[in-house]
Order: sequence, then structure tokens, then C-alpha cells
Amino acid sequence: MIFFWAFVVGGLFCVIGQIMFDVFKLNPGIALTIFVITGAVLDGLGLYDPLIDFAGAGATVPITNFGNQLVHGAMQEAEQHGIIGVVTGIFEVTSAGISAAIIFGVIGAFLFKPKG
Amino acid sequence: MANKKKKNLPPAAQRYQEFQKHREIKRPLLKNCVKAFFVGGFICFIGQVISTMYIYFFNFTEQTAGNPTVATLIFITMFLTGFGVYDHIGQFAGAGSTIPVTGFGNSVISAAIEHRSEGLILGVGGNMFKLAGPVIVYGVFSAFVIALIKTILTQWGGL
Amino acid sequence: MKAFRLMLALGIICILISCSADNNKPNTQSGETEFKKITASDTSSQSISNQAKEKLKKREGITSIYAVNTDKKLVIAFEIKHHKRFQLASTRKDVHKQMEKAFPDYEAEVSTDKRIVLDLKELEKKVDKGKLSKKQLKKEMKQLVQLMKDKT
Repeated sequence: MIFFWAFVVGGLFCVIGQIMFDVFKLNPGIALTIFVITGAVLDGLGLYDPLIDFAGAGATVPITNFGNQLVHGAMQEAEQHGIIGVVTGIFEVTSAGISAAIIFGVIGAFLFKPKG
Repeated sequence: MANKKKKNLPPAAQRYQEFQKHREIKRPLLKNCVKAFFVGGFICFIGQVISTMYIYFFNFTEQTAGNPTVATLIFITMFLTGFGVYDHIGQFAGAGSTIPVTGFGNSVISAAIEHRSEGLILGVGGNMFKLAGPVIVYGVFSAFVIALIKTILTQWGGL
Repeated sequence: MKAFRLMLALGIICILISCSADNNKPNTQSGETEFKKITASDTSSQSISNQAKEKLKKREGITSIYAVNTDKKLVIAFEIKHHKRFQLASTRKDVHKQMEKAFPDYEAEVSTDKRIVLDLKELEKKVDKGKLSKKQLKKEMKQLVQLMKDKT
């Protein structure tokens, strides 16, 4: 069941993205930024975690999860260290996506040659 | 803003813009949305399969399985990008391949590969986050603002 | 060509949907909560976890319950119907409160995580066979609780 809902919810996120591209003529960079900010806002309102419970990877794979995790890390640290934690804790949970992108980006640059 | 810009243009350019607007190919919205839905959904489905595997065969909980899942997806993206497959998927699926983290990974990795010829430090290192940079910058900043508001509300507002 | 690809995508989807529906059938068809009482009692009594299961059974929408207790701790894991997963966090909190109220002498830990459910199911089997000494049980429980608290 969770596989089905992961598919549907993840697909719906992409449809919203496609509408942003086609109807509002946004370029991908701006659309992605809006998505991340939306994710952060949704988590701020406490709506993103129930969505993850419901849809699993359908909510954790789209880029909105990036914003969600940033807020999560900040809040986790803030609970322990107060207001300073908001600054220091932001990358606490998120590191995986960015570090994986950097590591595999450099490896990819060694492995592959640019085309065209 | 757009109107102001238009008025400042010479009449020939204005006419051209009208003409261009007229001739612009209308994007088939519904078809694109369907494609984006299925490809994006499929990527999330694969993500779910990977994270379920991490939960069943390794010692990860639902919470902790998220990070290795993202890393695995980006690892797969590296090969798809390197062999030029991801470009094709992107052309076909539009937002379906951009919105999942694989799109984020693709933008970083393709920039790294493309700028390899400009040298490792300034080429790869400097251009890697050219496309993904704004996402990180505004993601971090908005997360900071939201977490700040929430912390203030919970700690001092007694909410 | 494009139409062919679209068809291919649609075909994959159909397969996926039918597969996932199939896998879930035994769980939803029965309509009742899946749990069994632990009968072995030579090492440590599991009557508390049995009571907890009875209590949870009355709750609506719970599909399976697993619980194990030592003389100080009570670990419960349960699964709920998928469309109720939006309220998963609040349900979990609610159950936790209910358990603490019902068994004030025990330190209650409640989880809905798939991994914990699987592990607890295994542990239940082991306890049921009576193979675990008290010390081993305590150690396993400690590991489980640690896994639950792990966040990143």
C-alpha cells in the first residue's frame, strides 16, 4: 500500500512542478527554490511529517523534503541549545543529499567525459 | 514590470514580441503533466523500494532509512547522468525528473562533469553548485527564518 | 514512439498497483487485529504485554500489535490502517499516554516504525519459545529502545 501512495504523492508533486514550468513559465532553478521553501514552510506548520508517515518516499524523495529536513535539524538543535541551535543545527539532518551530490559529482567528473 | 519593459522597446521589437507570442508553440499541458506524474511517481516508487530494502535487510528504521535512500538515488543518478540517459529522461518527463532529489543530483553532477575541462579546482569545484546553489541558499535561509519563528513561539510564547 | 513510451509507463504502473494491492490483501481482508498472546512464562511473565494488547485491540484501525515486557519496561509496536497514517504521530502519542496510565509501574515505549515492528515480532517469537534468559531479554529490549530513539 505504501508503494502505491509513494507513487501517487510523488507523482502529484511533479505535476505541481510541471504546472509551474508550463503555466507560470518559471525556470527550473526558481521552481526548485520555491519547492524547497514550500517544504520548509509545510514543516513549520507541522504538516510535512504526517505526509511522510502516509506516503513514505513519495514525500521524502521530492526536493521539498530538503526544506523539511533543514527545519527539522534546526529545531532539533534549538530544543537542546536554544536560539543558537537554529543557526548551528540546520545541516544536522540534511547532510546526506548535499554530501552525496558533492561526492558523486566529483567522482562523476573523474569517471565521465562531457558530451557535445 | 513587464509592461514597462515593453513600452521602452522600439516599435519594431514590440511588433516582434507580438509575433513571437503568436507563433510560440503551445505546450501540451495535460500530456506533460501525465508524463511528469508517471516518471516522478516512478522515481519515488524506486525510492520507496530502496528504503524498504534498507529497513528489511539492514538495521535502519523508517526515520533513519531516508538518508541512505537519498544517497543511493544520487549514486544511481551519477551513472544515468554520466551515460547521458538522464538528459533523455528529462526531455521526456520535464518536471518529473527535476522535482525528485535525482534532479538536484543531476544538476550538480552534470555541472561537475561539464566543467571538468576548466580544471579540477576552479572548474569542477567552482561550477558544481551553479544550478543547485540557489536551492541550498534559499532553502537554508527560509529554514532559518521558520525555525527561528517556531523556536521563539515555543520557548517564549509558551505555545 | 512517444505513444509507445507512454504505454510502457502505463503498463508498469498497472503492474505496480496490482502487485502492491496483492501484497496487502491478507492484512486488510481479515479486518481484525493481528496479535497473539505470549504463553511462555518461565523466564519473565508477559502478562503485562498481553493486557496491553487486549487494551489496544479495542482501538479502531489497528491492524497488528506486538508487545514485550521485562519487569521494568514495556515495549509496544503497532501498525494501523493506511488511510489513518496521517494521524500516526498523534495516535502514537495517545497510545503512549494510555499505556503509561494503565501501567504506571512500567516504563512504556511505543513505536509504529516498520523496523521496530519486525524486530519485536522476532523477539516475541523468541520469548514464546522460552529460549531467552532475563538478561538477554533486557539486552535486546535496550537495543530496541536505542534504535527507536535514533533520529538521524
